[in-house]
Amino acid sequence: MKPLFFDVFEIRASVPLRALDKLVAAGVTVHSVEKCAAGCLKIRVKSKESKKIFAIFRGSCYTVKRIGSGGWKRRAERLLHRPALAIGLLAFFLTAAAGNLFVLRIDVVGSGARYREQSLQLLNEQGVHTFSLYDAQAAERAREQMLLLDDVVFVSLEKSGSVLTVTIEQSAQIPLPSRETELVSPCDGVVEELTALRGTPLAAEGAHVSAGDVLVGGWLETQAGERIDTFAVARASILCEGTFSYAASEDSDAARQRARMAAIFSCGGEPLECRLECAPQQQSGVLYTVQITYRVRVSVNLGEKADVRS
Amino acid sequence: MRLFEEALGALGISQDVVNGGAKVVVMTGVCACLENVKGITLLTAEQVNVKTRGGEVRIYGKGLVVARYGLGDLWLTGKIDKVELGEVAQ
Repeated sequence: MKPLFFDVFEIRASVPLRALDKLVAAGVTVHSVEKCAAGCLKIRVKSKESKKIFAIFRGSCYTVKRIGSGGWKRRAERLLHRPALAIGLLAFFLTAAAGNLFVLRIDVVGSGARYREQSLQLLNEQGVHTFSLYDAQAAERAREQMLLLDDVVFVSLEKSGSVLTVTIEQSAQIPLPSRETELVSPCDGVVEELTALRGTPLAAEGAHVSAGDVLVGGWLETQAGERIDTFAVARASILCEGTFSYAASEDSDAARQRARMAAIFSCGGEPLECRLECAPQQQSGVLYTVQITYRVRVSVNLGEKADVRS
Repeated sequence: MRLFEEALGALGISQDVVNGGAKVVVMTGVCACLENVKGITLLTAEQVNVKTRGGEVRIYGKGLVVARYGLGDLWLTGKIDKVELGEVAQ
């Protein structure tokens, strides 16, 4: 393996191989030894050992001549012979290095990337924004503020070159859905059936209730009379009555059937009894009045959908 | 050269006893590595003679170049055809 910085020497003598032994004996490692002519050897040695070479052969019968350099030393020497190129390269590297001090782009990634606007605003408040000098302490302050955002559990800022990457991770825990605490009657009617697995029943079977009345309360009462808030787990069916009116141009079986179906659809419950009355209108056509008795089933926290209108 | 140490260990020979003897590793057609080299007595593109404490190693091939030589180690590159061990030619 050639050294990175090396000089090339030419050694002339009647027996030049002895010169190699002399160098090796002095602790110098030679590289790429070539016989270039009779009594002539070309060797490469590390640049830092160049002075040693001349010291070793001083006063001897060997003719030692430095004929050049190689590796990075040669490139450096060539560069020094072209000052404009050297200055240009230096200016380029300085510009690139200075560019790294600035923030030219801010990326927000991670599961909390939806907080992009807020995080950019927090960074901006601390003086970290695009085309600004990067201040690690200010960025750290912004990071601490980002951690206060909702559900944010991890924030990291990483500056690579001129790009600042903000990684925001949110909590993997899914918030529990808000639970209804009590069973409420959706309509006026009579309680046909009421089953409360949890909570306190506030209506009895056969009782008349209005829309909005609490059927099962979301609390429990201990034997000591202490009230404990909880959530109701209950089911009820309510018998309701409703009256719906529909106009038609003329009386017919089809019109009657449409009026019945519209009433059933509108009541939103399980129809039990449906009575239709037809009355002629003053100008023209007829008016159907549908009286319907229907059952509404409601439940809370039972994991089943009630067949009621919302 | 760990292989040397393992081989010597398997033979029950202490490395101190054989220290100074020639160690030659040849990678066919590519290079040769020698340890305990005392000097180079011949250097051409076709033949390199290396002096060791116990004798001489003669390496034949084509395009032979001493890639590195120092501290008793020698690294020879080129197409190596043959390696001979023998006494130092007087």
